[in-house]
Amino acid sequence: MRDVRDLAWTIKAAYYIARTGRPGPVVVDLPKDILLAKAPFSYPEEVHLRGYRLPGPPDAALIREAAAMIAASRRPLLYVGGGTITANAAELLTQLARRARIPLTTTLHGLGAFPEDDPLALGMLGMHGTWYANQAVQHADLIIAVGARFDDRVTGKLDSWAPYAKIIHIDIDPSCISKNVPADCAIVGDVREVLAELLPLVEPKDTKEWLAKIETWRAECPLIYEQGDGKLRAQYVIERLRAKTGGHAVVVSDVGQHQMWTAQYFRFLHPRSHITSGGLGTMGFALPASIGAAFGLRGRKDVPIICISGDGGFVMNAQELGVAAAHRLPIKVAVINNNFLGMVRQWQELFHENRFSHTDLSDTNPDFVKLAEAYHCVGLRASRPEEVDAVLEEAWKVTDRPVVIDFQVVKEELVFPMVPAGASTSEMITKRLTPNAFV
Amino acid sequence: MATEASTLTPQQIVRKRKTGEPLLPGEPEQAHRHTIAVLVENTIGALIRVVNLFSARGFNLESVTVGETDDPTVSRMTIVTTGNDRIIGQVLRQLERLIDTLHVEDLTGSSFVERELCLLKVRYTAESRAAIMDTVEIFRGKVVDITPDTMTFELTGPTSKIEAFIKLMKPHGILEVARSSRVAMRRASGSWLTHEDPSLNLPAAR
Repeated sequence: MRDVRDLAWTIKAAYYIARTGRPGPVVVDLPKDILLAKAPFSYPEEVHLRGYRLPGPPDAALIREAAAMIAASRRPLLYVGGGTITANAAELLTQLARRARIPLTTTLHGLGAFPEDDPLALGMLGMHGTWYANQAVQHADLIIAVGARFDDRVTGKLDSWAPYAKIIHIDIDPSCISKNVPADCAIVGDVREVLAELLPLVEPKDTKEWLAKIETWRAECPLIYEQGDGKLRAQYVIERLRAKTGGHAVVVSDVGQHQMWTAQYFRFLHPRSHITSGGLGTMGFALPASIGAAFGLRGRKDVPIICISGDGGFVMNAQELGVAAAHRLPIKVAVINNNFLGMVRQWQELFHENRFSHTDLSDTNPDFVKLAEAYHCVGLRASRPEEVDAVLEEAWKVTDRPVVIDFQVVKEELVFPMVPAGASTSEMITKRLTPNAFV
Repeated sequence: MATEASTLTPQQIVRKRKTGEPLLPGEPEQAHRHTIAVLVENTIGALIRVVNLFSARGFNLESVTVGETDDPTVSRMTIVTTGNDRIIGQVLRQLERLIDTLHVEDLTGSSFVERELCLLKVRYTAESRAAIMDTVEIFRGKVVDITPDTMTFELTGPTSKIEAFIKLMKPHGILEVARSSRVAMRRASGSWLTHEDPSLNLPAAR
């Protein structure tokens, strides 16, 4: 901004760009002199930006081609990204998958686009996705990418990703098409419009054999973790949160191990019920984002806001408890506390010969219960599995302020399965590499 | 995983063909030089965004020129870049994605004229003068300045011609060279600014 007379137009243009096409943030740089200057206010009805092109209606011929590819495929797989949720196309997607009996895997941001209690759902794919979803990718003969961008956390080593699959890529952003994996059929357009046109062209398919194969993979390497040894683990906490809410909650996760466990074990049902910073990887995101979610859902007392954070990420913005308390937001904050930067610790253990430098937080972490109380919130604690349900019960009774629950979990737990960075999706680690392996 | 072409699946081979990536590790990349013309908003910010795009995404930027067009609100940039088909596709789509760009056209592949301007100052003596002037004549250069011991020439042409001229002047003692980088335009009638793309016949920018 250089001239206050342009301010109204610029703000209008910023909102226009932020909300249309592939939505996203816009930075408006407002210097102090503009903030203090005066000008007549005239807010334009609409703005025209001659270099800003929104995609037109999707190409009908390409949609017919995609329908033919789906009809011809024997091992199809839907790979669903956050664009599906942004386009409000989750319902159409669900219809498509169920109508054609196509199994479905989602990215981190795609979670919630399809109910995970459906047998067609394979959970997340990629680095910390399920083994069976990644196996399906590696054996599919057709991948239908919907509102997704083939991020490196999804594909691992590009050369060996989905070696037998033709690719249909549906996305609103032309610069995403064929960026990482070349598409055989690229449809640029709003996912909702494309799916609405595609759906009537897709006939029910017989995918029994393919689904049966996937079930054998699911049985071979399910998502499991050690239980029954009296130790508290993050996965159990997340499963109990899921049981407590039945999946009817908005879950905001931070960055790290707990984020991956949330993605794996919460089994999301609804679009926009999972909020996370994704590829930005911004630790400290969860608490302020939960405050935003709580404001957005004020008046919806039936939808709990659950903030799941690691101890490392939580302290990065813990002062926001003050804001949440001041506005009496009943956020449930689950601090998955292993007194470590757990994901960094995991890489140090697996790839850097156990050199745990600067990840042990046991001497620096605050007492989270006292911290919560200092900020006028309720502080609770659980350190054994049998305490979890009682502490959740207690937390759910509080409706006029945030509750912080310090879940003291074991520090040795690693997120599995895992595709090491830069490795092929076929080279997934499904067993723990250390002597106390259990899987 | 796949170290030999025979271990690649048909689908992997199709993909590599599409991107222009080598089928075998160690094979040279199929990189091509592309000349791209871009119409942008005539502001310094627009120019910076285009150039930043290249540095931020690690695209190769061999040369770039910018100048106002007949419409004072629009500048035209000529960008020369290299890369395989996947990279060039990305360059074009990322350029189009910028809000400040009004039109992007890859000239490579169609018939186009490419020119560069060169100013070159050389030392001369009574003995060398005739030989220098002969060369300038052959290259259809123009003398734009002369002093008792130096001459400055103006020369336009494709890059190869400019480079050949510089090479021939070198033995005489070049004092200074200034080159404009390439500007380019598609041959054939029509202009994508005003005729072929009606979406650009729009009210001027604010």
